[in-house]
Amino acid sequence: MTMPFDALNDVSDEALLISFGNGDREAARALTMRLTPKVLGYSARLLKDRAEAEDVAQEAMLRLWKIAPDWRQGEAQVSTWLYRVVTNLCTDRLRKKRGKGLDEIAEPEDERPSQDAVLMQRQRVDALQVALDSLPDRQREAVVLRHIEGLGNPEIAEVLDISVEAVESLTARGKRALAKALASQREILGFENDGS
Amino acid sequence: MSLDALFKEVRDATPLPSGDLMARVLADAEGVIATREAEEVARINALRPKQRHPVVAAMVAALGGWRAVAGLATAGVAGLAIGLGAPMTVTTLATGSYADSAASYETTSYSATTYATGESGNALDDLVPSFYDLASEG
Repeated sequence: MTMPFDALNDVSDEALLISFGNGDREAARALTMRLTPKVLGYSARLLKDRAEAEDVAQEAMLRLWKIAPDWRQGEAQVSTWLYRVVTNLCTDRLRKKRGKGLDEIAEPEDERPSQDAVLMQRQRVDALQVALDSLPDRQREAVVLRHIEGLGNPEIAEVLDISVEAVESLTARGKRALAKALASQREILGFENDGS
Repeated sequence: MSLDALFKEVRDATPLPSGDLMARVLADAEGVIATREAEEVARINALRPKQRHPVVAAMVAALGGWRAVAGLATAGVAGLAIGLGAPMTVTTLATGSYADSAASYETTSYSATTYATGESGNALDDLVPSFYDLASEG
């Protein structure tokens, strides 16, 4: 069965995946448009290298294509499954890097304050990324999933394969660590520790 | 600026996938579909009976299909059995010498006396030499 592309917006990820499993190329297009940005965004937050993040995104999507015929309906959300795959792929890559002693935290390219709002925003985003990179893996994954990807705690628990209480603990500790890491740049970034 | 506001800025600045990445992802999807279709075709072909050679198929069709070929085969086997079981009879019939012996057969072969004493040369086992062998086996 092939569905017209413009009629796929209201179709769930799972229905599209099953349709793809039956050979529907339009479903593949719709899923690519819908899920690749999410997957890339998440992998880019976990990895510092953009090219590497793209490789992870491609690999995660390839695994999705391969599992499509065997997908068990109702067991998990497609996006949750993908976040889990990306988490594992990124963890593997980060471990390999650490094994080679390459886990150096990148500094922002330009730390000079700028009056230009765009540059300021860019600096803030870079600074947060650096601070995120300094967190332990699990804390970083939980904070990114909760506060950047916008997932709920139960879904994060499913992605990371831990309890909801553990997720709450990780995100709370992660936020505290971030606030502490960014405190030194408070004046440059206009950042305030709101104590949350 | 609060940390939550900073998160929002980061969300808004999330990198978009390049056209090249989207093309690679779609190419992977196409490759997976193509592989799966090829495997499906191979699986169906493996289940299907093997196609006969076209020459054999043409010969069978010329002879009238598999039913006709089966009839021919049966007749052939029957002929072979008769030839092996009663070679003298076949020889007699084939050479036409049956007519010469028919006269004496007429006069003597059905005589109960001669049949009993086995004096006639045209007894049943003359026509079907292996008759008694078959009878004793059966």
